[in-house]
Amino acid sequence: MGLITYVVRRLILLVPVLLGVSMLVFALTMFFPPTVRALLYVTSEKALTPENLKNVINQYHLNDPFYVQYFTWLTQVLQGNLGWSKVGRMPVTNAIIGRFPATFEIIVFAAPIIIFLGIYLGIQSAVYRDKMVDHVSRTASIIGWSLPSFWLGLILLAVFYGYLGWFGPGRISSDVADFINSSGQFTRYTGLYILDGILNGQLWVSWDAFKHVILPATVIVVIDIALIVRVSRSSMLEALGKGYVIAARAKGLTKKEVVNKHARRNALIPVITLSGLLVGGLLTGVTITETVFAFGGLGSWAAQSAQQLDMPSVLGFAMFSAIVFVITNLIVDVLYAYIDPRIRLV
Amino acid sequence: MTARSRWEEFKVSMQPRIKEWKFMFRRMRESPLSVLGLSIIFGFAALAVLAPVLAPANPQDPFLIPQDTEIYKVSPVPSPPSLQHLFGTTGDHYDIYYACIWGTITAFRVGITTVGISLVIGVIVGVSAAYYGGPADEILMRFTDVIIAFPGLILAMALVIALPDVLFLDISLMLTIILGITMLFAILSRAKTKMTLTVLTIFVATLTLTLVYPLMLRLPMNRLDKVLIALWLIGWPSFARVIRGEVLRVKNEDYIEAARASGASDIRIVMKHILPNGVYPLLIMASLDIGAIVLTAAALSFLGLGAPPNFADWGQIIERSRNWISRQEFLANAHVFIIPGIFIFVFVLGWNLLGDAVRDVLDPTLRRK
Amino acid sequence: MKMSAEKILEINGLVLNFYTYEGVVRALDGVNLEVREGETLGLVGETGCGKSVTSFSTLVLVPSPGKIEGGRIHFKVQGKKVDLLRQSDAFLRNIRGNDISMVFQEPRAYLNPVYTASEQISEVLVKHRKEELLKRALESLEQERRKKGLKGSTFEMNLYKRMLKNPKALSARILSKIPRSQRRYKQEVRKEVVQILKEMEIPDPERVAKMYPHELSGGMAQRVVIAMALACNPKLLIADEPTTNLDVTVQAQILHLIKILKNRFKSSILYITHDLGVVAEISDRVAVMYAGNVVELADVYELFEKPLHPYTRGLLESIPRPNRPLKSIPGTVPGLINPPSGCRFHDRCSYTMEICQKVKPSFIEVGKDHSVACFLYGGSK
Repeated sequence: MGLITYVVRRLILLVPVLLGVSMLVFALTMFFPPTVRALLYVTSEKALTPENLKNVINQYHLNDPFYVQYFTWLTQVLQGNLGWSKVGRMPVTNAIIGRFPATFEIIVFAAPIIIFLGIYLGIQSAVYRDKMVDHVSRTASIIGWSLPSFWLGLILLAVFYGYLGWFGPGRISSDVADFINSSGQFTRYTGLYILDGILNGQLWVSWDAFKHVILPATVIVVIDIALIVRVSRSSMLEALGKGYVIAARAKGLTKKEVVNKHARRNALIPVITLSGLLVGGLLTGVTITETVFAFGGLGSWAAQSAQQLDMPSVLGFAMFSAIVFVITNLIVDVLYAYIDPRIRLV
Repeated sequence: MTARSRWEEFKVSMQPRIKEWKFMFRRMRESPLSVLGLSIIFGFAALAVLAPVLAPANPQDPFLIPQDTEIYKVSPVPSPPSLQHLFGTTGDHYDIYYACIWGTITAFRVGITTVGISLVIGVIVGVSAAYYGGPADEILMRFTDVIIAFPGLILAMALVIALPDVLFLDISLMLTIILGITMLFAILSRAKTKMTLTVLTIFVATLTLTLVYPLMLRLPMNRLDKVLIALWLIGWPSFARVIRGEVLRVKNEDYIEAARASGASDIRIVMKHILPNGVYPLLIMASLDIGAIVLTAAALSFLGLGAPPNFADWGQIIERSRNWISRQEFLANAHVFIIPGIFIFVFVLGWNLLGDAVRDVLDPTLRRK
Repeated sequence: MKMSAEKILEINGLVLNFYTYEGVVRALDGVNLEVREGETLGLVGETGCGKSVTSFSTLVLVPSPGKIEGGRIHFKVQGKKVDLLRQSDAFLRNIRGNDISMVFQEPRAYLNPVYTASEQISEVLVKHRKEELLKRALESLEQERRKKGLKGSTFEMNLYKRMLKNPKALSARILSKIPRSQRRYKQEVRKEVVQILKEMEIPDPERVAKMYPHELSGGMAQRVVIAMALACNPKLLIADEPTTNLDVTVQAQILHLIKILKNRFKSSILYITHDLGVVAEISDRVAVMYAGNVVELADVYELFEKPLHPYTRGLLESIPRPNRPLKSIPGTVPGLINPPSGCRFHDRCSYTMEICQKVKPSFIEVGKDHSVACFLYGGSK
């Protein structure tokens, strides 16, 4: 079957999973009393009075059987209303959109490094098996995988902030924040401070923002790179043992050509599938790291909301994460089918 | 057959497997990393067992950290390591040394119970799905997919805030539901009539019980219990998927057909043929998973969702240091997070080293060169 | 085809050991072999006797943990005899795929699943016949321009001229990275691929060229592998059990194809197999291997009519024939970590003598073109 048919099939299969996700989230909401659940339907601060909440309860049938409630809730969600965030003092959807750029800044630095450096180290470990490169990267990966991310964050803060004073918590320093918010000379084009700094011609803003992104991104890279290294290594080892590698050498190719042209493409195939799972690790990492560094992105908001038992925020974030995960995996699967012609037959 | 000859038969049939296990253990002993991992784990196990000796138990409840109320009255700042408090104290003057020692027990408890329960649930779900196939398989796998779609920590967070403070379990209702589903699967896959009838009778019995005299359990839960239950609920899907894959792979092998042709019943086939061959990837996953579970639990504690503030749990102690992240005080109070963090790191490292070694040994593509 | 007595490949006393977890496997114990120009030498033996290892050694491509630890491999290159075991890696790479090629047992395992047949055959063409194909491209372009009455050269033509003059020059390498700058050359390569596939008697070669290995049947895949091997017209083709995994009818087709191609391409063939029927069909001379040694080497008719070595005799007698009880050689093939002392066959041999246990027989010529390693026919060193 062609690539298009495969994509369409996967898109169709997406629907039951997304429905299932919504059902699970809904089931979790049902653990809360109606007064809390009413917050899922509120969109402005004024509506938070007790009488108004009673109206909301009636209006949205919050005492009716659960299947009725599921549909009322689902319609709300599909219209983009995820409820009211106590912690953010704004609708959940706005909170997510508002805090997304900060999280994105961390991920856009961490993810490529994890993938490319991880693949490179994994392949080197496989090609130079049991030599120094192999031992060092495998040991470093295991150590990275065993570190509690919040502990690593605290240590890095202690060294680079407490002791050296180079980098600090938060997204930007307070004087830069003043400039951005009050001076009127700074337009927020994207919400990404590093990019906005460049677009505004204020490079010192970008530099400051970058200095604050470095530590959180490093934490995430150290923790998550182990997985990629391990899988690249083992799939490369497997590819190197295959017949076509010997056949290629029998054709007169150099070892390097064989590794780069033949083995690598086959070895990368499982790694691509793994990148989908990486997104889950990134979301988790971001939640913890942003809390440690008080970064102000999605993760710190979610953690704060959980601590304050803010149900719409936490569940809204959970649903957001699940949807991102599912869609990313879909893209990854399509990419996989594109690269490996054998899959499309399935 | 007499009991003795059955035992002999069993011993003989296990011979090749024993030989293989001996080969695996020899290889594991030879790898320095796996030896290191095992030593670490044994070290911590010793700490856990010797806890009452190393840090005399708190008379109220051993898991409540003793608070040095003397110093507390004087200063709200953590005190550094001293003779009296070997690792120092937190801002509220809980003894860190005590927390770390007794926290070892908590860590083992969290890790082992979660992996154990996840394995059990995962195997039941995975084997049923693979063995019965068809619509049963589809439903179970969609359900598994939905849980896996959520990043673990985030779903755990949602579960922890959703779980009530007191758990009312209607045991009879739960049994009825489980039996009902089993009956459904049995019917869907056209199992033998005798088994379906047995399940049907038990189902009717429990249903009557539910309606007439339900068995309720009232369990008060503290925050750590909620974390545990959350972890149990999110841990099993990955195991279910793996064992299902293995069962599907093994199911189509020739020796299963041979067994069926010689009249073996379904359960016998599963227990005797499918499980022993499909269990290796699970062992690898389980040993690697304990580390991840302990890290997740520690993260939940760090975020303030786990163990309560005076409970002996490593992550929880580190949470105490969140109050001191400003430049001047940070370094002075670093001991509050550095020391428990070392405990977490080394503990998880031990399990990961072991898991890695187990994987290297059990991986069929790397074995037996 | 006329065979000369000139040897194109001569292996003397090849010793190869595998250093494994369980001990040292003495896989090759002084192998002696020769392939004459224009002939097909069949190499027969049971599984595990070292046939494949010998073939890989000829290309000096021994998989680790194996190490060649003795002997010489003389190959005739440009009129001179060269010991391949003492050559540089660059020299060997030039020979592989070019002067010596290999065809393997399970074709789809030896083809890369993510590249098409054409891409994999082009690879060997680009490696060894680049100059010739560049010239072809250049000439066809020049012809076209002349027909159109234009003078001078296009960018592409200049690029080819530069690449031909000094292929390693930096300018040539940089310019060749420009996309679409080598259209005609790539066309020529593809045309050559299709041409080669046609010679393999593959129907609809253009379509097959674009297929992936998993889309090809076993026989078709093997033809692609053979195409890869013969693309540069090697003097020696090593065929390592190429038909073992194929259906019998396909096997016959491939054998037939190999015979035709041998005449057309004028190569010598080292044909490895465990199937005596195939050996009889395709070889001019036969070498018999047992447990890491060549024990007999003779003309094919001679070997089948007058087998000398007890092992050869046992092999021939064990061929199933109707109305006769099955005969087999008693015992099993020895493990090579602790091989038997002296002659490695002595513990299964019905003619064994005292000396066979102690001393290893050397490989001596006993009749016209008939060599054997057995004390029944003559002395020691």
